[in-house]
Amino acid sequence: MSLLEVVELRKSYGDQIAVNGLSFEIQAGEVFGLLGPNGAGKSTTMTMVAGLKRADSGTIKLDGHSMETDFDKIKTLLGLVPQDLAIYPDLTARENLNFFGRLQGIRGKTLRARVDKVLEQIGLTQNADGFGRTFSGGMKRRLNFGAALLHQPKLVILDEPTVGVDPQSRSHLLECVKQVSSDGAAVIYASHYMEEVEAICQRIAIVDHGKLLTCGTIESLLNSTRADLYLKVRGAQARLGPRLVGLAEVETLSEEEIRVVMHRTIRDTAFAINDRLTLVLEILKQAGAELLAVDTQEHNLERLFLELTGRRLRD
Amino acid sequence: MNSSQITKKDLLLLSRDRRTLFVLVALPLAFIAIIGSSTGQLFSEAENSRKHKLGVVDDDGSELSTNLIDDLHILKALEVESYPNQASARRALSENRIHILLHIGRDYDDRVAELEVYDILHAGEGRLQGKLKNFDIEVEAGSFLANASQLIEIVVFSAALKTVSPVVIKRNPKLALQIKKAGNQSRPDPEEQLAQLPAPSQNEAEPSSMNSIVYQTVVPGYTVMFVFFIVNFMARSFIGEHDMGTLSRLRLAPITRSGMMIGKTVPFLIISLIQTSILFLAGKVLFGMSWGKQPWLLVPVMLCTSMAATSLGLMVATLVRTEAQVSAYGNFLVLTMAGISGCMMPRSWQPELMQKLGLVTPHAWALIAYDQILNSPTLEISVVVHCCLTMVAFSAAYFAVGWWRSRDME
Repeated sequence: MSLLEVVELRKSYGDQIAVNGLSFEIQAGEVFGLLGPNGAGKSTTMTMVAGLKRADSGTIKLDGHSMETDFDKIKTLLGLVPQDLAIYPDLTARENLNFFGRLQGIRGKTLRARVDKVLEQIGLTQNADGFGRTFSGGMKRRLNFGAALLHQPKLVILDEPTVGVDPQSRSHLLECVKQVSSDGAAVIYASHYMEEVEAICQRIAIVDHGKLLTCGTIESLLNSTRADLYLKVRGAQARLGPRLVGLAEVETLSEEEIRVVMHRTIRDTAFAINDRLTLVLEILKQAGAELLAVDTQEHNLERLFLELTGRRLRD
Repeated sequence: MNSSQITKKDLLLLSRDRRTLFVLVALPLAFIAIIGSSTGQLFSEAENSRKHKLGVVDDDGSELSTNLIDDLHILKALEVESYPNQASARRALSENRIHILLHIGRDYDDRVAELEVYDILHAGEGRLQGKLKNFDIEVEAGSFLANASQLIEIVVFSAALKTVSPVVIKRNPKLALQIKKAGNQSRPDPEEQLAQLPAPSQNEAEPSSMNSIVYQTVVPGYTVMFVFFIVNFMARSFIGEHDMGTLSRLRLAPITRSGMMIGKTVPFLIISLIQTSILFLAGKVLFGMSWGKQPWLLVPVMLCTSMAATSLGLMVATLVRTEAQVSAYGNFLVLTMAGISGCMMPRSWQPELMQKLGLVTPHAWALIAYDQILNSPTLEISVVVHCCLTMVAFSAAYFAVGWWRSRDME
């Protein structure tokens, strides 16, 4: 059984549909990336999964408990790391963690041990008695993360946890996420940084306009994509441009050489690219152009995202 | 209970927030000191500067005119100063060194000599006709007491009548003898009279001086006004939780909405009670105010006032969305309520309509209760109870609106 099951989730604000029939599952110990451009519906999805917003329809189940009927139980299983720095700047790191721990009902020796462990985990043991307001952006982010771990949740939701963070703190945070996951907790990780998602997520879901565009392991998604074809050609630049419209793009490399780029998407069928390539080669031959080299470019998540949504991730 | 954790956290944060402590304690103390010392000038007789200054020009120079001036000296509200002539006295009046000029004309003695017993017994008729000028006396009030010149004329007329009456009566030997006899028969034994007098007692409700009367009004007035400033700090605290994102964490903690609201409200109630206690203590120690005959009654009034203030704060916190709204609407609400309720000036100074209008605020009920405890010679506990219950009703109404509005938090 999956730890988190989200089925046909819908949410609207007036006429605007924020989430439109989203479904996915997450297993224990898995880091699940949620990708989407601004306004795609991922934050709304996460706040509904966290129970902070009610869905118009659909079901959310965490560890077998329904959000509708058993929210009090679900609260104890959830750890939320909001995009805002949800810490008190006028409390020390230890006071912050003590407060959030006590709020979860943890007391005495257990609380002290958990706070010490989390401080070590987020690398703030040396700064435990420093006030939040005196911390760097990265330290604040780490404390923000630590506050969600005290009650050892089964699902941790991280919303853009590394925004405005220095490389050292980012690296530390990513290690922490991996550690949490290896301890058995599931993680939902939303980020604009593809390299982070590729580095820590086992599976990802790409959403746009409230809909799930694709979901799967990074390998399977990248395997399903098609590499672009690059044909390096000499001569006949002037004649080629108009004739290749709709088939390929022409980039000038020098006075003599051009590059014919054939973009491919996961929607292209094998026959479609075969036919296009045959046509392009025929046109090159007729124009008297000399084919110098044929090359391909491997796809990555950034490219996949662009193909699926038509937008760059940080547009 | 997890709400107590929120209370502890907020108390810790408040104790580290010097701005809050300054506004809630230091600022009202400064206001009380400034307003108290300023208005004290109008009421108190403790210092000579607070007396009405009377400049006297005695052109008559008779024994009678001297007696009149001596009688005026006895009046504690007046500081009498003699001037050799009208010119110098008028200059002093124009320079505001004296507030009233009293000129006894050279015919004063002669006018008194013409009076008969009838003129004394019927001062409004006969030769005097109730007018000072018939004594050959003139009164001129300066700008400071311009509106009170008629009152001053009456005072001086009475003093003159008092000094000349024995002289006029003595001129009628039969009447003088009869009055003396009647006086001897009706006079009680002095020792017996002394025994019947109540033993002197320290009445706690009566302030030691006129100066402290001012603080009996100013301390509760400004205390109530500044207690309600907690509204702004509460609203800011709620908005802060929202803006920082910590509200999301609180909502995900195993705590109910009511528990969260109570946890957020109690620290401000505690701070408010500490604030009120400090201000009343300072009022007693620094300004010599009295806590009344039954000081314990202050406790429920303080508690109910703080409850009303924090409930109002909770309501406002759920109605506003930004810090800017708190600054604009919060301050407007707090200052307007303080103004119409009578926090800034005694309720007794307000027109009747304003006094009635003020009753729509919990401030007014707090002030009525404090006035009853601190200033009333006959303390009516039922009035205090009524005021407290009304403030509890205000608190319940504010809390209900706040609770209803806070459903957005879920």
